[in-house]
Amino acid sequence: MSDPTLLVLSSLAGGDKHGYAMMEDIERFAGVRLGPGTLYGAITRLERHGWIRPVNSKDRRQPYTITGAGREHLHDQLASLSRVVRTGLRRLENA
Amino acid sequence: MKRAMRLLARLYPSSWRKRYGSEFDALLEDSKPSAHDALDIFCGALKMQMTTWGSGRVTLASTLAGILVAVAVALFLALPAHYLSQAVLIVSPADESVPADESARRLVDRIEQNLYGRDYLASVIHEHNLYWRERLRMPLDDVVENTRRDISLVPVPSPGNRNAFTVVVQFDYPDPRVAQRVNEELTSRFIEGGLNSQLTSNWTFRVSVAPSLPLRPVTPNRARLMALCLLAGLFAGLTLAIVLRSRRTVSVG
Repeated sequence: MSDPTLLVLSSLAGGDKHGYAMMEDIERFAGVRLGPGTLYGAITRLERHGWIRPVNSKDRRQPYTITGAGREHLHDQLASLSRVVRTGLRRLENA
Repeated sequence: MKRAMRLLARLYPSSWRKRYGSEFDALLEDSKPSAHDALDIFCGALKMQMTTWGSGRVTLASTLAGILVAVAVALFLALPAHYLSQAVLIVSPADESVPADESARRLVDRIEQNLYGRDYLASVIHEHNLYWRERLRMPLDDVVENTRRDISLVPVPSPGNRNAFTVVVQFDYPDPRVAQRVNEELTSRFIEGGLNSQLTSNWTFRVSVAPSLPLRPVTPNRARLMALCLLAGLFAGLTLAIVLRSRRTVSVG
């Protein structure tokens, strides 16, 4: 999985994080290192859709949190991905 | 590198910078600088710019890209193609037991002098009607000098025999058939020069690859030229559009 928006949502599903913490978390759980441009491109899109929002903070390192709509979207996307994974694995085993 | 990344971050649209600039800069301070991240920021800035563009700036960028592509096409048509005919000769000692490094070097020097001689090259130029445009506007000695630059002799040691060597004879010319004919002449001259030399009683000459008829030009590399101009056009268009946007933002602010 390399869709940066899903990676960011999956990271925030585990708790609020700022940009650098998301980069490190994603690298740990997905083995993918998002560059700063890619990460903030995803953050911009997700915030525009209302799937994440900034958390009040006085630090320049702005933390974000996943919204209810974001959880729902992530759930739908992962369920769809999971169906694809199950089907692919089953077909590989039967081949 | 960190400074370059901060500069690249300024390419983002000002509205985006107003909202995310401070936290993005904080992220860059935390990150380890790398060329990969710098490229990522550049691409991110371009994408963000393009999502906020109006039709005017898209038109401007496309026009500039178009102009540079047109320039590439014009160059493509105007630049003369050059074809390289090649021949490969194998020069080996008659008696392989005799070390002949020194005499091999003297042999090649002697043949080169013979091949690059002014009178000989002048006769080749006249015989094959070479460089007729240049001959109209420059003295023959200068044309001969140009001809020398278009000839190359590349001696390469032969593997397995430390005394034998291979010589690649090349001639570069805008007409492929003329390039081949002149290279045939040069290759014959090379062999004759070698055989007539007093040094060559110990050497044999064999044509391994006859002078080739080049099918494709070596220059210009037209695909590369087109690709470079297209990239330059896109880059110039994007940069101009970003600069115009920044100036407009400053004047409005």
